[in-house]
Amino acid sequence: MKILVTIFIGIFINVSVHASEISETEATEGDAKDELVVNSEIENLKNEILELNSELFVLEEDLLFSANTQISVFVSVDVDSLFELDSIQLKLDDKVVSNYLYTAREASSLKRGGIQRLYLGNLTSGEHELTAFFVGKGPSNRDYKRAVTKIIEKSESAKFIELKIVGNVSKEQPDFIVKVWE
Amino acid sequence: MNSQNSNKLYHYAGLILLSIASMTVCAEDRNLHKVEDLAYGVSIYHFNQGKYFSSITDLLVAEKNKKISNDKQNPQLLLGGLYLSYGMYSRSSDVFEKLLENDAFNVSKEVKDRAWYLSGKNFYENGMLDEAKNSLIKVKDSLKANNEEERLYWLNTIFLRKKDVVSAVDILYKMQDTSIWRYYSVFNTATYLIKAGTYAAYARQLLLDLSSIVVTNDEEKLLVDKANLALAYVSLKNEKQAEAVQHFLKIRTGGDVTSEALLGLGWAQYRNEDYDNSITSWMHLIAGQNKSDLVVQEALISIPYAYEKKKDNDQALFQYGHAIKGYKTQINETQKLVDFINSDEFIAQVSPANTGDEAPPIYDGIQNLNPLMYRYLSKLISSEKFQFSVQAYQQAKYLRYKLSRWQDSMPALKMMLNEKRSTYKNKLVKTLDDDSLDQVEGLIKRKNKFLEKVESIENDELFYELVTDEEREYIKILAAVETGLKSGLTDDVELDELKFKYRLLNGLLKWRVETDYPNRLWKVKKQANRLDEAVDGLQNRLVSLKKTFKSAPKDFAQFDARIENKESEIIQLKSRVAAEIIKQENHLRQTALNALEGHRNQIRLYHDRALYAKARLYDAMMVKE
Repeated sequence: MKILVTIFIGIFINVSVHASEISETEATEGDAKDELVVNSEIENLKNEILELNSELFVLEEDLLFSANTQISVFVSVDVDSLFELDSIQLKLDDKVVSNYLYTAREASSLKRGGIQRLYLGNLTSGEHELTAFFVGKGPSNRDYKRAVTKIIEKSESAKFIELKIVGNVSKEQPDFIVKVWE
Repeated sequence: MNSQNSNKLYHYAGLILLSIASMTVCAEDRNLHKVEDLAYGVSIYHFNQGKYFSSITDLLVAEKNKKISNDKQNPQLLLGGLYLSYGMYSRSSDVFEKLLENDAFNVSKEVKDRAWYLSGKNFYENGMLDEAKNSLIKVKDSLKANNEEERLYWLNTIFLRKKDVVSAVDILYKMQDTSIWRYYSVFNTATYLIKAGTYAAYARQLLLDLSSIVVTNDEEKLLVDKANLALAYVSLKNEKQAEAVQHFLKIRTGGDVTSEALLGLGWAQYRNEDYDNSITSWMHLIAGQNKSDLVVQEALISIPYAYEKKKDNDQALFQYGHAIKGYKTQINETQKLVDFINSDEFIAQVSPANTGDEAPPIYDGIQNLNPLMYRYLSKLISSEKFQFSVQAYQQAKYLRYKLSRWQDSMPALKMMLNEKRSTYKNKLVKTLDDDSLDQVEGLIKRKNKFLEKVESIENDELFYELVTDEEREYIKILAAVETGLKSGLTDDVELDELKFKYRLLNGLLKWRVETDYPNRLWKVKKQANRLDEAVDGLQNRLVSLKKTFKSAPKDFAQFDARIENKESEIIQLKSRVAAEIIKQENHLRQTALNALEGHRNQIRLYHDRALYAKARLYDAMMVKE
């Protein structure tokens, strides 16, 4: 009968999630070095791929969007309950350049301080008209659509535009702002 | 997947997510700091979605392009945390070390504390306990309350692993009474002491305290159940059956440790010679819990033992037969599972549905697993280690996907470069030869001349340089009149009148030109400025064109150099990733098979024991007859 009780004790030990972590680690201490070697191999591989990925990323950008013609449009959200973003349509000189529909995960990421690069393209020097249409749910969960337009001056250097959705507490409405980064 | 398994899975999933989220708290709380660089914000955008690969790339690219200039500390902190979450412990350690030891970062106390804290966890993950302890100890007082509790939890864990019981216990007194991290630490310390066979009374008291906390959520309820289970085990070990029963009865029915509680309760009652109740407890266990659970299997063979004690041999024989039949079924079923694990289907089920999805929800794949996996390997599936293995496997597959994408893009990049080169040859050279460039040069000269003239008008107050066409006409007329007056063609009376009118008109004109001069000068200067800007723009474009003209061949050569060898590098990396994927597939298979083998061996053992006991009972009955 003692054998059965021992089995029971074994089961009890396995039940303790965090505590078992300690005993498991003790049991596998001998294998730890091998595991570290394997981990280091994987880490090297990941590191090399990350390096290559970033190099190719920069190369592609340099090749396709050289600095003197490059324009990037970003989206940020700093509003809690006043606006739930569903989609954005972006127009440059009355031509639709981006239509983006947000997943719940992406919308939530924006709300938690993330900034999305919505559009990367080329633009000639001079004046251009940028228009963004924001679609989502406004206060009281009502359908909400707003547009914002701005004339931008494209110079010889890369242009960075941020579309900001911010909460206006006094009006209890979201505000849509176009910020040009210098 | 049945709902019980599902709940259990999500419970553990919650724990894992909690630990990952807390690894990189820096980005989680948007109020903690303001995002001051777009590139950093983009990295956070990917990080928030669990896309660690993209998030790290964002920061590396930003570093290469010098796009992070306003905030040096937080992006580094995020990078260190990202490497940690992505299983790159050594890189993570390097980043934290650089951040903490480089004065150029001018690191604030808050950032330093978070960095030491993450660094400590980093070392712990790497199995470097001393380094982990040293880092965690360096944290001062600026961590958020929950992180501080977690830090103390890790220190307690490290001390226990290093068998430093006094320090481990000391940590308990630094933690907040109602913190969940303290509850875990208390439980870990108590079970450690029990297993080590030291400070038994103190360990028991810790468990008693834990078993009587006021619970507010499922996590705490589970801990209380576990504390009671441990207390019951200690009582059982000390031959205090009645006390053990009391602890077992405090455990919730329908909780995560109900099976173990019912099994233990049965044993406590059995040892108390309360065979009827022990049979009832085990029967209850068999009826209500997962049939494949080893705890249930143990109950199956325990019931006939109790009947034997009751001298009810017929019922004991029947129950042995029932158990043997059950074990055979289990052995057959687990064989099917072994075949499944060895098949390609197993790997397909742990693979992401969409290889291009960088952060597939790990539980989607696990939810769709073969039901046999849940029946026999639910503990393995819900374990942190197995889920990290699945995640690592999915990450490796994403790396292969990413490399394939780049491999496919290489011809397009080369084509783009060739296109640029031919544009340069055909258009740029033509443009630079064009007359329009000479015209620009002429315009610049004219503009400069105009500006010089405006300057001299202003300096010398040349009012008449700014007269209108109409005024110029008047001036001409007045000049003609003046000449006429000087020639004296008319009589004196008429001459005097004409002279008076001439002086009047001349004076009026002068007054108008002089009083309006500032206004006119301002307008002319405004025009001059506009002209200056326009011509400057033209000049800049000309300079840019000339620069492009000069630098283009060099740029093309640089692009060539950057593209060169990339293809072979991609192929070489792809083959290493492929080998890694196979290694991980084998690892996943082996882990599952090892876990199952333990289960199968246990069932085989029960089976053999039941066969033996049945034979023994038959023999005994034969002897009696």
